[in-house]
Amino acid sequence: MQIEVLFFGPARDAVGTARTLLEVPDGAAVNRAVELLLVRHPALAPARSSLRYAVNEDFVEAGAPLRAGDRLALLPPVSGG
Amino acid sequence: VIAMPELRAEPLRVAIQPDRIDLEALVREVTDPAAGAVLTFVGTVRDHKNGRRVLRIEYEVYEAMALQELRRIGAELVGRFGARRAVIVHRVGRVDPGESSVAIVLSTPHRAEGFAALRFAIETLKKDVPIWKKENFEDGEVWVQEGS
Repeated sequence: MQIEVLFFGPARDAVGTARTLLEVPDGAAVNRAVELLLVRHPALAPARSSLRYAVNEDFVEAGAPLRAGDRLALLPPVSGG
Repeated sequence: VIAMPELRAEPLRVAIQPDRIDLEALVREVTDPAAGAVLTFVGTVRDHKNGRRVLRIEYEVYEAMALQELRRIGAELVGRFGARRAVIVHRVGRVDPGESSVAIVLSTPHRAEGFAALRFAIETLKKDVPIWKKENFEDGEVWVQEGS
């Protein structure tokens, strides 16, 4: 199944794009999608441990399951204010 | 006799904007005859960091999610802290030293819950709202990685 992936801040700089489409196994969790992204974008590896994730604009845990068409966002530590 | 519905402004507004923040307009917006206090928190861009001159800051925002998280914070201001009206505005894009990057403005019946509400709002914003700050120095630029 296909999902959409959004990158922000330093993660966007690391991969060089703000958005990509990713093919993942049916029922894959966020963790699995991130592993596949790391193969494609090794520059993400140093940031991985500090990333938070959102699916369709809601924070989720790394073990959360994905559905086709979901919008997964990789969120480095935020620094607003 | 048909009762007229009471006309009342929405108690909450949140915004992500590239434009400068007009604090006086926000104070007017939240001022409410039922409230005895209007409180403001304004975050501004510093012109230095660790002895280096900051030329400007660039804010990147995941807008759909940031607006949702700001509305969640605002709902707490109204529901938990009893704010009569609240506005939260954050800048996106380039912000120069001395300019405001964020403003939280609210009215409450009494001041004590207003101060508590302001602190809750800015601390939660800094922890959970998907906004990223890149500092531009004379010799390069860097994403801010810690709350600051």
